[in-house]
Amino acid sequence: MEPNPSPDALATLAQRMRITGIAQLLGTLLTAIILIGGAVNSEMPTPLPLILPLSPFLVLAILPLLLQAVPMLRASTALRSFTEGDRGALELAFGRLGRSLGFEVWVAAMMWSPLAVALWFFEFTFSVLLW
Amino acid sequence: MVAVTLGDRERRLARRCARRAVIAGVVYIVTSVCWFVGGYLAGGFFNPFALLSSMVLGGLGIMLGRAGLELLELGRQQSQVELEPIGVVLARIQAVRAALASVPFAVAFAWMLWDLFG
Repeated sequence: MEPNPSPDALATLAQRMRITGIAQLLGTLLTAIILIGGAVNSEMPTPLPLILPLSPFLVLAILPLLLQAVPMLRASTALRSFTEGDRGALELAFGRLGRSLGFEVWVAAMMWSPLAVALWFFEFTFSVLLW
Repeated sequence: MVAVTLGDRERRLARRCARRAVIAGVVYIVTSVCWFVGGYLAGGFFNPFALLSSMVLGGLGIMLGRAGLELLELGRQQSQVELEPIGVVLARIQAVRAALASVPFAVAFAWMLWDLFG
């Protein structure tokens, strides 16, 4: 594995990945504020109305966002090392990217999943029964 | 262009990334449909938030899946490969992922402010 002598494109990529990793962390923070705020105040409007009072789900919702953003930042660091000539860093970058994408699957399955649909459906059924 | 020759381990890790990207893409596409159906079932009407979310999720899923397939192709190459095109696609997807993490909840926050002060 031989890095190109002028790897500007890869350095740009590493920079972009760092920016998006930071943006993901900020998104996670915003998510946490909204979810926790919604859990504290049930009157607070939110796209996930039923899920908010369930604190274990709250953790399950925030955790994967954090777990996908951190490896992304670490992958950008590894890519930068690769551009500086560290030949083992590409392997690290791929490994961390893979980990981040693994948590992406978790996010896709947990946050926006049939589970949410089932909970929505349950809420709908429950409200009909109450009515 | 940055051209590298991937070793066995790099190739294996790249393929793992690719597989996960494809799986995540497919999950996003499926859940985009589920999100829309769930919004319809829960609201009992044509829910614009569910429609918008499902469109964003579906688009993201397609982008992610396509990038995964490209990365899979990269992992299969035995000769020197160029990282930049794949890297640019991955960076774009990361930007969309970051936006997706923020936008729905930013909308909710705006909605809350609208309720409070509107």
